[in-house]
Amino acid sequence: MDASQLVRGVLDGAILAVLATEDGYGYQIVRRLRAAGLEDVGDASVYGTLRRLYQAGRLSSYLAPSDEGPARRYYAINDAGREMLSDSAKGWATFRDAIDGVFHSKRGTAV
Amino acid sequence: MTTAAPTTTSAAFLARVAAALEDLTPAEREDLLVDVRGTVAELVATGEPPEDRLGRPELFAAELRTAAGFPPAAAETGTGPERQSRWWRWWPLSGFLIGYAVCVPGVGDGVAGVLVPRINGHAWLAVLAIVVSTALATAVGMAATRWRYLLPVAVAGSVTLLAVAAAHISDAVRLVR
Repeated sequence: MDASQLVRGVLDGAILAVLATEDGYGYQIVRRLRAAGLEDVGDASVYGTLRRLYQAGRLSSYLAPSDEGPARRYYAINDAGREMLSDSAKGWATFRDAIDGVFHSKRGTAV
Repeated sequence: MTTAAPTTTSAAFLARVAAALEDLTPAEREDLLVDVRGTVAELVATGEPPEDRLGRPELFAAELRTAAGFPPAAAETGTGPERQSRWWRWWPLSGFLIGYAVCVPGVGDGVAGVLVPRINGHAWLAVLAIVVSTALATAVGMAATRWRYLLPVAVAGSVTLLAVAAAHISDAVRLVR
């Protein structure tokens, strides 16, 4: 199964979850997601999603200087973002249980 | 501060991503590019070419805009940003041809008399007008690809004005002598 297809559907929630722990900038958020096991996550998908979440009012942002070059844009989760994260987590749990149920019933049943 | 100078590769990568986002407004494009610029700077600092990590700039830009909620670029229909960004390349040629057409007299002795452009008999004035026309068309074409349909008129008008002004100056110089 191509994990990148699965990741795409839950990327909004995953990014919000990463930012709920600590503010971060684009590249750093990608690294945190990969370190958490989402190795197939694409940089462009993450940056695009960050922009969309920010536009939707789920994140706030601020600039901070960087040693490597241009100033970095840090993202921080806000109340609307936390609410969305909570909904995403519930939605994911429901979905996971449903899929688990389907897989397990398939395994034990001769079709 | 240990700032790594961007390599040509990183500048080229960013330029190609920006070109693929050319149909967005400057504010939208800049908004998308801020995070990319930071990443490219960080990759350069670690010595990794951006393309190795981020892939082909056009594909990167396509994924970026889709994830951000923008419609995909219409590159495959021939009206997308990649094609639009190449439009300015025609402007030097059109500037040259318009300048030449305005200045060439079509009268004179032999082939050279007909083909060598002149303003009031001065080839150097005509050459100057053509050079200015070419440079102007290039600059205008690069700066404003969105209004490209109106630009031939602007360029032709500028060159005509320039040629008329040059003719008057030439007359004045002759009178003084």
